[in-house]
Amino acid sequence: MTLEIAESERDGVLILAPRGRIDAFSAKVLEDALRKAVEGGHRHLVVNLQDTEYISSGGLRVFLVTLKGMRKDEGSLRLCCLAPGVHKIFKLAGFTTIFSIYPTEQDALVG
Amino acid sequence: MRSTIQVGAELEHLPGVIGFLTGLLGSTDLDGESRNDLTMAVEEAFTNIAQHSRGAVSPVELRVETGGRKVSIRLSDDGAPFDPFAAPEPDLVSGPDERPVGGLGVHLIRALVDHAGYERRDGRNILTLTMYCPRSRGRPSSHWRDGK
Repeated sequence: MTLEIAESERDGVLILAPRGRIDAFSAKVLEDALRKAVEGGHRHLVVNLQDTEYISSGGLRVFLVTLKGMRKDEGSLRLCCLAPGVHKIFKLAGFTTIFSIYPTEQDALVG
Repeated sequence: MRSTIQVGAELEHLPGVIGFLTGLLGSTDLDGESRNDLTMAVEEAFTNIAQHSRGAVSPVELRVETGGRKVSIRLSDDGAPFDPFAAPEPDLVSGPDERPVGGLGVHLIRALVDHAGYERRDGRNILTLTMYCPRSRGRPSSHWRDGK
């Protein structure tokens, strides 16, 4: 159960792509990657969840804390390509109403 | 069939818990989505115990019972009494700035399994998570037990 996060940049926007499971044990990996991106000066982030097969409340917490911080700094956090199982958890948690969620990475980049 | 493991109440043991469960659920009649939902509920429950072990001195016992038309999972620990379901439902509607952080784990447990219950017995917290085959979402468990 590992979580790897690939990073790429398009049009000045950093794209993070977590691969694997975001559970209570691995959520710290995501938290560190997002924090590093923000501390590195990126105010607009896209997280591509295409290869994220699972997310628990630990992962949801990381996304919510990051979203709050980025909004304070007038930045943005956009999510895209959620697998059905992950989308279900976002919906159950009431997160689909507070996150900007896009079907494709290109849509997320355009906003 | 009943299978039991005992694991330390630390988050580092979560992968072992998930591995144990995944192996057992693969041989049940639960469909893939139900297996995922039950696994996630157990993860949330175990994480809750690990993060708030409340003075537990013995390992957490995880007991899985399969057979008939249900899968039942019991997690028990000897920490201080704690009923996770006594917590109020989390805020799921406020905007992002007002939305409180936390409280989603127990909410997800409730939402993902067919029945979730807590009891304090013999000095232990006992959490029972049950999934029926086929899925009986929306059906009160008492009706199922009564065969109605």
